Amino acid sequence: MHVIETSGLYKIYNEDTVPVYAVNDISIQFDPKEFSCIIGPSGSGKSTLLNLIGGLDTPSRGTVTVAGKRIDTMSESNRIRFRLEHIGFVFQHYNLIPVLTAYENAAFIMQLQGRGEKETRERVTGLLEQVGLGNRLNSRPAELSGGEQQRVAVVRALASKPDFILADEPTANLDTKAAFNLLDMMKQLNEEEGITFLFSTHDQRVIDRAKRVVTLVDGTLHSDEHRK
Amino acid sequence: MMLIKLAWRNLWRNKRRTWITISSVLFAVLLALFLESMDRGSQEVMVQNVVRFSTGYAQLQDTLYFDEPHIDNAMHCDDACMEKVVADFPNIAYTVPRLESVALAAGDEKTRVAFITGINYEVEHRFNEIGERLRQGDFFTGREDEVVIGTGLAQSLDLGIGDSLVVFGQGFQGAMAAGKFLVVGLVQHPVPDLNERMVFMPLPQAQKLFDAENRLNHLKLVPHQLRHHQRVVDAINEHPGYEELQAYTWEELQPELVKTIEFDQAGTLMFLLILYIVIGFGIFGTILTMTLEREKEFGVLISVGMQRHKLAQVIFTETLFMNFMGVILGVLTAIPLLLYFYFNPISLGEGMENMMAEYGMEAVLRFSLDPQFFYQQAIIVFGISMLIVSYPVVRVFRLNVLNAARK
Repeated sequence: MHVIETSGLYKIYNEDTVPVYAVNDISIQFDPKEFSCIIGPSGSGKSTLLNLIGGLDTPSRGTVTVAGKRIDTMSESNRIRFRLEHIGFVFQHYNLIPVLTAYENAAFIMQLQGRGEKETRERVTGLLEQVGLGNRLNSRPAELSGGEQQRVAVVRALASKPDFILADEPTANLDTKAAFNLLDMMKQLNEEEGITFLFSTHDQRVIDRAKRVVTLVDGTLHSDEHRK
Repeated sequence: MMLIKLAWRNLWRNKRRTWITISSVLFAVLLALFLESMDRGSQEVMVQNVVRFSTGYAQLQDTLYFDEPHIDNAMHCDDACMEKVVADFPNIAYTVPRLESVALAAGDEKTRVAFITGINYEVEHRFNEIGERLRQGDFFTGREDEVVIGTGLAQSLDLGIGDSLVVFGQGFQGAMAAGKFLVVGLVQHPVPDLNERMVFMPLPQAQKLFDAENRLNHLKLVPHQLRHHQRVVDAINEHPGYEELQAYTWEELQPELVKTIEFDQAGTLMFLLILYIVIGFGIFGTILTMTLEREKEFGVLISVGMQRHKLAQVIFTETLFMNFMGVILGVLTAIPLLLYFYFNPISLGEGMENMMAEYGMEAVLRFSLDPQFFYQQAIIVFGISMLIVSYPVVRVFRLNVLNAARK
């Protein structure tokens, strides 16, 4: 079963006046354990497609099925709940909560899910140790480097045990070393634990590591390259 | 618990803004309490001065007296009658009898219209501490022809202790009321108009003067709790055996005073409304800034799976914390301040004395410590500030997640 499936997907702005096709008839599937990226020039519809897949936006036409469920027809409240249970997000600007520690930022999502304290502590602590932040559990975001913050963001996305992680330009604000470390970490999570990653990126370092590269141009699917 | 922790931490992420908001609420509560305390203090003094020295808080009269306040309509009530009233109504602590009429009062050379008042000094003093206002002489010596007069009347008639005062007027049912009395005391009546006219004499002496034996214009009813005067009046008016008498509250007997107080309260309310609006906008300003600054964060939180109502709860809790602290600190700051002014009223200076005196008031601003207005004002300011929190809450529910997260 595909973890993500879109069919005849459109996102059209100003439909009644001068229509702008941000996403134009895209039908695509992503399978579990993929490490894929969506690339394309600015304005090609990468982020819009990611937002539609993530349930942050609703399509003008077409369907989005995630983990076997149509999310385009869900109410907003159900979509939020669905995102919480099934989708992890990693943002370009990390977007951690500044008043919470690294541990609390990651644990926050599990607490929203209503998970128990013991389970939360074990999972979050384990994940933070796995990404090399075992000694930074009590550090607030302002005390962490950009790379460390983005790792916490990845742990936050992983903590809820999602079906896949959507990462929007995750390396854009990182220096080369931090970007490589982060990508190595995500690649390792993908290969060893089967975590599905879907990136939107311009970064060649991400593209080089991806097993599948989907290229968008003007909102349409230009190419879909599977690599070994 | 997690949401409360998040709200508390958020509160201190921008300490200055939080303290500005808390200070806004604090000063709103403080100023509102200050204004209300001053207003109520002035009213309490006004009521005390006017009510305690004239009608009392509640009063029993003949049914005809209210429409025709003349000595001919004085009620018949002897000592047994007064004791019965207290016995019949447990809410009444004691009664204060009075027989009053207007008459001419003359000294050696001048004559003035005077207000002759027969009193039982012991209960009168117990009720309004009139003895504390004695400036010269004694409040009765046991003679049968003695009077204590207002210092204003003494001055206008050019009388002093030991001088004679001649009274001439009309008694009960057309009887002539005339007599010569010895001035044994001078009293400073708190109501300036009455100070110019007041002649006190023992009740039996006044009843004799006006040929009104065992008659009273009214019997003041002093409840155990002064604020329960309405209950006393209602109880008497509904009690069988009192059909020929009618009880009134001071509000019914002194509608002008009620109007004055209402006017005064309206003025204070206007001030308070302006204060609420100014402070409200101040709080709104900081809440607005906080909301706009954090829209991106709100968008991200909703993106990662936080329901809007939970986010609204966090913001509501933050504001609740701030407002609660502001209100508590405001009340805590107000208590010592108002205590100080309660014991040290603000003097308005000599220039205001005459003007204030015309209204039966002292030229000082007195403060009240009535606990009722403490919680009233605290609740109002708290309510206003919580009303303001509806803005960020509504904003969260209407937030465009994509736009917010892109900021």
